Amino acid sequence: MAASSRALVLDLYRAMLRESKHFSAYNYRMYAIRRIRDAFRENKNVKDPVEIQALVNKAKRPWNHFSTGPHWSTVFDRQAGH
Amino acid sequence: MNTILVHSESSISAFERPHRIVLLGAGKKPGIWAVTDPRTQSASSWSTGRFLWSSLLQSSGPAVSGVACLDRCPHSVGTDVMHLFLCLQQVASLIGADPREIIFTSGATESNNIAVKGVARFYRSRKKHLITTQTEHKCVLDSCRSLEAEGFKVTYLPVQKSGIIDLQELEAAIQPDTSLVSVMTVNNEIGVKQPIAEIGRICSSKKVYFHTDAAQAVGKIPLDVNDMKIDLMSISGHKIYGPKGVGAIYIRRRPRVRVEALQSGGGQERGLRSGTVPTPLVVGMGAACEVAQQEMEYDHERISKLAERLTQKIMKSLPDVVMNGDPEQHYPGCINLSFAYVEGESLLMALKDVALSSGSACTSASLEPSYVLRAIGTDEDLAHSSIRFGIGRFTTEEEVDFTVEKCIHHVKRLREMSPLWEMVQDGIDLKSIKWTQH
Repeated sequence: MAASSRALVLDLYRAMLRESKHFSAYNYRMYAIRRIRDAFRENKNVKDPVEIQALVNKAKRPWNHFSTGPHWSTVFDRQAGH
Repeated sequence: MNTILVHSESSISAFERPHRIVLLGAGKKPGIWAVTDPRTQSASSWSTGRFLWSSLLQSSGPAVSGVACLDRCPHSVGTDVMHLFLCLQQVASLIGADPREIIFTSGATESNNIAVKGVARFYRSRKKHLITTQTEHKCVLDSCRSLEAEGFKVTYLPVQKSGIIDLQELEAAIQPDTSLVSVMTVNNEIGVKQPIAEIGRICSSKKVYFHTDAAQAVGKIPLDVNDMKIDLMSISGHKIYGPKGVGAIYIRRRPRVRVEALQSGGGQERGLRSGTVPTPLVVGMGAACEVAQQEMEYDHERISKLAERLTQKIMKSLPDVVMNGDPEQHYPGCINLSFAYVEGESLLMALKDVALSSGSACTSASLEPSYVLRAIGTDEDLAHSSIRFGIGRFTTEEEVDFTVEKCIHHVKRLREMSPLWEMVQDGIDLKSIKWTQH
């Protein structure tokens, strides 16, 4: 159980970092990569499976509660005037 | 969910049939009501908003806050209201308020106008005096100026060298006919934090309403309207990384703050701000508030580190650099530095190129010497050569380093060319020079 959840979390981490590279705006891209890395590192010693699941759900949550639009990584591309 | 059939009394939109009213949320006093009109689904000619009059539902019982329902394909009326309800909660929880106390506006400027003019005008028969500071945002100062033309008296409190107001002066300035004190939480030019909790305490003890323009502070420093005894607060959407063109105003309900509406119309937002609520912008702001609440600690720590890095590097490499504003009571994300013996405009031109190329998130430089710097007593020449560095959630270390490098380079270059700098190096006191015309 613990091993598979670890693998799942690592998969999620890698997937999120991969998606973050698609932000075309430099600032948002760097922020996403940095924040994801810091958040996962901060919680790396969490042992309680319920808490782990809650954190995973929080990570998977879309940007807003009513997302019917494009993929979240492209949300800011139109505003990327930098 | 209870369902009630009610007849509309509205005269503007000709409702003939009874409407089904859906109660959202359990309990005796629902916060928001939604109106679903059976006709909405078919006709697309109803392109304008459908209004929900609070009087309509007051006649049916429970107290209600008026809500504008947007009728827009493909969303049904109910969805928009749910969006708004959630956004009210998101904004309110960020400042410790009740969702019913939040009203959406077009931005902090409008919120400031509503707060200052609305409160002053409502109590105009009994109270004719307002207090604000000299370092407030232009919209507050301009609102006060227009109120002076209407016959109000306004006291513009001076600030100390640190940028913070003197609390004794504030207390002395409060008169029996003062209706409002308006002091911004974090100054947008020098980043100084005013002692809001103390000001709130003074104002509530003297029974004067306290308004704060918290556009730069919301979501960045912890704020609680009840702990700090704030009666009105202006919130800006785009300052917390939300969309532009939306803001909010917090207006206390207990004890109730009465405000005269600036904008007449359909009676939306408790009659205080008529006009269709811009749902897409409000959803964005709500999401931004929620994110800001979660990220506040992380952002603050990071921004403090970057700000420290920036100031340390610049001050280590360059002499005669002055930081404007109190170093302790200071929000780290807004740093205002004055570079002595440097021609302000040329430094600005040089750094303007930098800001454009490295990403405008980092540096924001304004041209004319601002009234804020004058208010804190900065000399004319230092005021001209001041630059404001803005560091935010998305600023990277590389950007900070790049800006620091360019800044040091250009300041050194300009000082080489400056005759004033030469004289200072030779030990001449500039104040003793008698400049002649020829």
